[in-house]
Amino acid sequence: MVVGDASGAGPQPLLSVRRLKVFHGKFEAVHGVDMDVGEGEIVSIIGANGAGKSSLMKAIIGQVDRVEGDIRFDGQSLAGRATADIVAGGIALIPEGRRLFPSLSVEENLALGWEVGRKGEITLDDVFELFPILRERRRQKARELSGGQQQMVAVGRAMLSNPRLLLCDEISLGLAPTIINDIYKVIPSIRERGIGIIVVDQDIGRSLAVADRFYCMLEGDFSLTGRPRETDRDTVMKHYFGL
Amino acid sequence: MTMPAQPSLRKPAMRRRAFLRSQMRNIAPFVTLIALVAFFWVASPSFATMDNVANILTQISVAGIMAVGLTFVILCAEIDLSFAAIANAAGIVVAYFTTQASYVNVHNIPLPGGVAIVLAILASAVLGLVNAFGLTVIGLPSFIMTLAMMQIAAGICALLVRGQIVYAVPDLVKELGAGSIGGVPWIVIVLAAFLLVGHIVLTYTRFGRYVYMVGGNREAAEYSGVNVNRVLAAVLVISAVCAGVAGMLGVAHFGSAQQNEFDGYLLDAIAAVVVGGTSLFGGRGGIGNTIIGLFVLGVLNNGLDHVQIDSFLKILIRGLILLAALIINVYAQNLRSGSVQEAD
Ligand SMILES: Nc1ncnc2c1ncn2[C@@H]1O[C@H](COP(=O)(O)OP(=O)(O)OP(=O)(O)O)[C@@H](O)[C@H]1O
Ligand SMILES: [Mg+2]
Repeated sequence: MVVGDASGAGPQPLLSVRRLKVFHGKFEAVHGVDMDVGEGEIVSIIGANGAGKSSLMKAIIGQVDRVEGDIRFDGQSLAGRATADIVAGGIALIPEGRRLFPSLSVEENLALGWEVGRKGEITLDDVFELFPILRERRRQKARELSGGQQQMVAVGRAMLSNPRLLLCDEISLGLAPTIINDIYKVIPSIRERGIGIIVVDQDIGRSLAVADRFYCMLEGDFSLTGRPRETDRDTVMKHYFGL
Repeated sequence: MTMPAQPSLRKPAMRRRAFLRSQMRNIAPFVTLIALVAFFWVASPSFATMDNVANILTQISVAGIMAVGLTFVILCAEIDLSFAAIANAAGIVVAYFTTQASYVNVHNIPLPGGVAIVLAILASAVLGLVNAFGLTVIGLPSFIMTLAMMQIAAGICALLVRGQIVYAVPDLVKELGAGSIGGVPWIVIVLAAFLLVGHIVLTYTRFGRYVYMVGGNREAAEYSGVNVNRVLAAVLVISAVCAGVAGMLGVAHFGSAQQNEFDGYLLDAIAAVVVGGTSLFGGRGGIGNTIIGLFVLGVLNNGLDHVQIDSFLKILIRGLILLAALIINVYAQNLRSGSVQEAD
């Protein structure tokens, strides 16, 4: 179901996904979805546990066994491309559960983004400006940081790869509300650089508040898509739970 | 904005204990080494002499050069079981392309020394590449792939020498393997150079950091865009080339090349790396640990020859001490993950 004018990404979207099926072994987790993300657009994907949100993120970054359908980034098909190649081409994923390198320092964790990514204007100083605490802790091992600080490192690392499309999978999971605020605050400033952003979050309210458009995922399909400001909460909840 | 510190880390004493626990992997091998040295010092008057120290250094050289390459592999949470056989193959290849005495009954192809050396190193690199292909392209576990390679390399050795023994190697190899300068054996200097370069690469280069990343959290490395397969391929080739050099120098050191010459080094080099405290689960440890591990092994092997023990019992004692060190390695891993929250 589509609510309002949901086509927001423009005629030549940054990311365009068509009839995408995602498989884990034989199991089909996503059943042929269409999605667009434009430059500088924030798109939210909501859905219950197991709906297939992470599967979709992993498919875009090239980390699933098999996909069918079409994923185009800047008009180019991503089919068969290795993750390293996709990241170098300008897509970065902040994966579920952060996934830092615990025995390496904050700086080393951040540097990785710069090394593997697209060359661009975002520097270490930009990240330290957004998250000043990381500047203080730059020499500390990642494992010695709090959960929130680790998430900041994960966000910073992804930004340093100078993506044109940033995928955020559950960036607020397990964090205290004030820290979630700190992290969500940077999303609009990332968008201002013309970066397209996909936000996946269990916190529906927060993720819809920041988004231009949203897709609601239910058991591997999009059950609802539209603009948050044009969609009432009841409709969202109905499609969220498949009622 | 900081999260509350873990309550258990608040008191300095507790914090210190947590630190010690997290350093267990580095402390235990060092304590083991000191204990062994102390024991043999007391037990045998001939152990703690300058001559014997030089002996130990020479004795660990061949295994040590292999262990440098193996450290890279184990840091990636992979294993190489083929390096001793690859060393054997490289040693035989270099001899195969060297003029042998007339009584050596091998149909070899004499070439200039430099060419023979290059061919031997190339041969080991190619065998390492085959390992890499099996692991990264076909998707075989490294344990299986390198087990097969162990047999393949042994087969190459067998075909080249056909049960014979060859003796001559190029002059350069002979000098580095058996010669010395100012009383210091060249092979010890080569070992030191390999250890140094290995340490610099692992500690100060991007590639070295990727090795720790791939071993510490492979999924994270993949998701962030590290070319994990390329890193894995590189470490297997590095291991094979280190083995190739060790094999050539070993042949010069022992004075002959024959089938199965380095089989015993398989266990020695793996033990040195693991006893030194490099985690079998990847991501932790390094050349510093390997150095300690080499000394533990060298002191143990050498010291047992200086005390009056049944030589058959020695084999058992060696095995038991290695087992103890392995238990500490795994136990240190558990201490870590039990005491400090890991971010994966
Ligand atoms: N590696 C895998 N192997 C097999 N099945 C998987 C794998 N990963 C996910 N799945 C299955 O795919 C479906 C979608 O999982 P996915 O992780 O994409 O959901 P999600 O929407 O991200 O859920 P959550 O909100 O809990 O993170 C689930 O049924 C899950 O069991
Ligand atoms: Mg998920």
